[in-house]
Amino acid sequence: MITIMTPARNYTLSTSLQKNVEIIKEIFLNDDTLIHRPFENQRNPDLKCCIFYIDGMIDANIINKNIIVPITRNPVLKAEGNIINHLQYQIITSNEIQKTNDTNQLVTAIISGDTVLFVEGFPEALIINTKGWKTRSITEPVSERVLRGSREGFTESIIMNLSMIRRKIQTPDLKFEFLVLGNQTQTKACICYIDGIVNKKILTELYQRLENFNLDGALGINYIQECIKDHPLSPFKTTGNTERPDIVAAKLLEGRIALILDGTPVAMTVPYLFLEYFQSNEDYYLNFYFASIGRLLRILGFIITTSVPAIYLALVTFHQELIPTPLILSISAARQDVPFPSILELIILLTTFEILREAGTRIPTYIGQALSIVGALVLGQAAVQARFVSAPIVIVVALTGITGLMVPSLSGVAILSRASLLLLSALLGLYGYTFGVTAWLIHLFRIHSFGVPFTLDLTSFHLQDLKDTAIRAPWWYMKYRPKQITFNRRRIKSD
Amino acid sequence: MKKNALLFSIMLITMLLLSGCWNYREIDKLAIVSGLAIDKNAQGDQFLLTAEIIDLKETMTQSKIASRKIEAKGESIFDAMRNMIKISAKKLYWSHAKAIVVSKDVATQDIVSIVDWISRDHEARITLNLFVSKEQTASELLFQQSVTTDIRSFEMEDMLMGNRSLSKAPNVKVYEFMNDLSEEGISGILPALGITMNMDEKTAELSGTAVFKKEKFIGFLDEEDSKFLLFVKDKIKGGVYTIKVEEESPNEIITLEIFKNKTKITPVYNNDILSIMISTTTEVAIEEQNTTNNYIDEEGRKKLISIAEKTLEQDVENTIKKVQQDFGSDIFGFGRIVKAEMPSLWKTMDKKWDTIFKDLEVHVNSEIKIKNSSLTSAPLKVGD
Amino acid sequence: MKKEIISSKQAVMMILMFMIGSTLVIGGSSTAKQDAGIAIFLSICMAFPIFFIYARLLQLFPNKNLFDIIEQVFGKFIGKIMIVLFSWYFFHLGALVLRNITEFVQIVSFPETPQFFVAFCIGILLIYMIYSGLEVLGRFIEFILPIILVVIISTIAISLGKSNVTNLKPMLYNGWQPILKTSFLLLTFPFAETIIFTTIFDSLPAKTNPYKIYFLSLLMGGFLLLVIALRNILVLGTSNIFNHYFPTYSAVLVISIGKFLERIEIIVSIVFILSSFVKTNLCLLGASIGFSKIFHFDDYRQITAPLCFLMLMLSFILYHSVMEIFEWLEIYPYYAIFFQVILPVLLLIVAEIKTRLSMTKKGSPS
Repeated sequence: MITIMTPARNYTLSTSLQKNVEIIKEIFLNDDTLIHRPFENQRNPDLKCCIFYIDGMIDANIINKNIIVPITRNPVLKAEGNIINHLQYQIITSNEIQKTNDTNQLVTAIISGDTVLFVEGFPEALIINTKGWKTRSITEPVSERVLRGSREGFTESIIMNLSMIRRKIQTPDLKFEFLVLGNQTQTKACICYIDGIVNKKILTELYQRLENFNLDGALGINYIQECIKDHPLSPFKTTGNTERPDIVAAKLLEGRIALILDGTPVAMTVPYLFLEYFQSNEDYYLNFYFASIGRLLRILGFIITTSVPAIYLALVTFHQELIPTPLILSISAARQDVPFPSILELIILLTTFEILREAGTRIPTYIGQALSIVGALVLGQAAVQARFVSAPIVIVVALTGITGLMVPSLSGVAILSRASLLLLSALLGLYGYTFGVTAWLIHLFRIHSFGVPFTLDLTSFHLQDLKDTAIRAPWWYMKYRPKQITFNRRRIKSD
Repeated sequence: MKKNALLFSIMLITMLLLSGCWNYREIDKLAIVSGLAIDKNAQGDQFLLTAEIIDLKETMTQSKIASRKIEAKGESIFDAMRNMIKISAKKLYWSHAKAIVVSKDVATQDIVSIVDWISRDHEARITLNLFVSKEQTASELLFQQSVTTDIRSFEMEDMLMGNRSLSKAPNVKVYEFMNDLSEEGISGILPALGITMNMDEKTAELSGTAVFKKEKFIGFLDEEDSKFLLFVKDKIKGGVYTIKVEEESPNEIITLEIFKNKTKITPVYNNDILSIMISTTTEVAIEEQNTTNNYIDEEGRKKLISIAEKTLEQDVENTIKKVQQDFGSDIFGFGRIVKAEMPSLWKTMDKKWDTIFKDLEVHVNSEIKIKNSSLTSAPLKVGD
Repeated sequence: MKKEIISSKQAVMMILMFMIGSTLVIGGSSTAKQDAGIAIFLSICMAFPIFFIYARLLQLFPNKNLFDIIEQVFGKFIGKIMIVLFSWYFFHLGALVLRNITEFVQIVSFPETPQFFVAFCIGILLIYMIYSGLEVLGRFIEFILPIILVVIISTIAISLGKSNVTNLKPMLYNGWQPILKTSFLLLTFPFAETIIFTTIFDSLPAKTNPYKIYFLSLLMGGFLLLVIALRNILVLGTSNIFNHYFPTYSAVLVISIGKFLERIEIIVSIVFILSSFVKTNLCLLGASIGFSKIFHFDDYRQITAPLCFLMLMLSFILYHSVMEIFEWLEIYPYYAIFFQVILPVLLLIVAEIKTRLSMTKKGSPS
């Protein structure tokens, strides 16, 4: 593969078809997927042509019907004059055709699924669009299901993905800018934004960062996300991703920028703010009351999943005076004869839960049932009965686990913050917990996403800014787009 | 730079982990104290402490909370408490203690050191309830049969809570008592506990008020007097008030239930004589009557009200007089009110308040409002 | 390096947080007993002219911090001495606040945990926060202060049921002397300690009015302290306040509504910790800026970490016991007034004269 690009630079096409064919063959040495097919005109065998394409990336029908048939069967075609122009403009029926003498370009075209046509006597070749490989059909993304709203999900084909966005936003202001990422993979990517809404500063910032992207491959969106992240070591992601075109369209309307990568059904959106973790696409399709409640619950769930083990530990091992008397009696009774200290109990059980969860996501569903039985019954019930762990701890861990599943995209952060808060709690009780929360808050407040503070709108208590944060205000009430992200804030056309 | 950061973080983590968790204590390693009784030995030089601790070992098998008692001696209260560890093996944990009962002689001599310990110690809470035992010792109260819970001290607290609808003993928390001790012109009171028979078994009951003069305990007020004391102190939240309506037939009793009471105390200084005006406004309902006379219609009501007002005034004045004569201790806080309302006058009399209080003139003016007569609109008719 | 900008709303919130900082913890209004309210009111009145001085300084030299102003007004040599004095004061104040809070934690919750450990944890956070910059501090406060206010106000609201109005009477029973003493103490702790904000308010946007920020926060902070002090007296009574080291904490301790809403004092402890953390943070920030000016560092962050550890050390050797904290409170006003009033007045006078002179000089040739 490495030999493709470098030697091609030295080749110049000649008028001899034979030589040209050899050049191409030499470039693709040892690549048996390259097909070359010489053919001539029926009536006039002087007109010698040869096409190159790569097996599996083309639509054979197009090549047969639109290239080979017209050239071989044409009764009046003669090998004289500027026949190649003639072919380009009158004979070959393809929607996209281009003439070039640049071997680099030819090679790129062949690789990307186009067909290259050489004609005897010309140091040039035609690139004919014959792309047509098997793609997955459009399905609903499994990880982002909705009850109401569109059921489309991105596929691996960038063109198809772009068409899905284009169909949703039909304005010439919607811009698609192509670029190529990955030194070796040469993956096509597309930056989408809506001119007039987008903040130009963020756009140039994104271009700058993508310029510095110099991995050899960009096989998934995360390759790019990790490299252009604002704070590389932060567990929070500062770029969002989604598999749904309707979400991308909504983000574009808010002034965000989307990056779509060929070969992956996931799009990236920037800038990404902390509160977007808690937004769900469903929010915008449901009644705003229910959507707001859902959002508040998700935020509460995140707080619970990170804090409850730490607070429980702090209360039972440091601040027993804060527990109501009846509760302390039952906790204390449950803990009698349990051999491990509370902190160890919590760590063991939390780890067990994470192991079960991780095991559950990677196995087929029919084994999953057995796993949950083993997890719930054997580990939970039996451990309590055998006095390995105390019952309140099982409750705490169960609560932690369930709430942790409410915002799946935050589960990595949740594990980290839960562990750190737990350790600090074990050292200094609720004060340690406070210190931990303070440190996390400082971290949250210091990170940015493309120049926009990550926690934008989290600290401001203006009604207008709160409309699409912790709650989801009715659509007619959200007159403005989020500031700092957009260039043009007004969302609803003023009268 | 990278290396240093790594080294630093390793040092930090080991420091955190090796330094241990100083105040980390497992909940099951604590002996949770629910209450405490404080006595003195016969020579009067040592404290005898009886702590009631909650027995959780037993709860596992019986699924019931039980209590145990631990006794210890010591030169001071704190000393005696620490001596308990010798017996209990676990460290006693005081934050959930609800009640402290002291015997009469402890109340006479050492109430200050108890209050002081409670307000100093970071485990004991200043919202504890202090009781004075009417019996010989304080500890015997902890050994009586329990009626509602298995833990004597919790029951004592519940008795005080339930007393809201009885108003026969003051509900005084330690910090309030502390305030009364240190303020000028007011003396402290505490609820008193005695023993009574219930179903042929001895059980503890709330019985009136223990009266202090400064830091010394000087005697008990009985339950009825306690109620009128609470009237003066504006602490009535409920309760029952019975009156005899007709002079000539002392068996006819009407029972009123008190719903609300508001007492206003105003000092009056006229012609060099200080007197106190107390006016109470009480909302009541007719709850029970053992006559067939109608006190529900307007005329009857008027009569009932005027009699009730008169008897209440009488009762309150009697109680005040009793306190003035028997104890000479200003548990009503009249002096405090004089100080608040007439600071310049107070400055002239704060030294001799004790004597002034004994002869202080108090006028009571009661107003009673009948809210309803419960569910019935007329007295029962007894047919011939 | 990009200049950091904080909004004027954040500035007001910072001052508020700073004022309730360690004042909430150790009260400082006990000598006036039932007249604490009057004392606080008086000290707010006294604080007005002092705040005027600070705001005027900031207005005369927009976009300059205290140390720049000193250097410009007094020149290199005398300026240096004054910068050292101020930096020392901020540094010392930070250590005092830190010690108050660690002592509080030790007495109230963790008698066995060494204070060093708590202080060390706070120290790490301080360094992290200052490295993250002033903007982050501003956003942090903007986020945390409303929560703190909700906690304070709701604890006040639910503890009012236990209040006793006679606790407030008689007014002026002990005469004006203890009141004046207390209000003088309150003036220097916390109100006039806000001199520290002159070191960071160069980060305000250009058109902000420093008077508005200072006076608004004085009114709000003063009102808050007033309400809290009144609540403490109403609930606990004056003698309890006098006896307890931490009256605000004790006042919350006695809250009990039904049987479920009780034992909530830890929330107040956390509020104490957070507000003291912010106060220490601002002190360390001021000291860092000052010392970096003296030693010609381009970025104050370079000096923060060593300074923070020195501050920890100083906070350990300040007192031997909690009793000394309260004894020091007797002396503190006379020490602090030098930095809070005398030096700023001197600075303002010289600054006014110099600006007038340069104005006339500028005026005369044309």
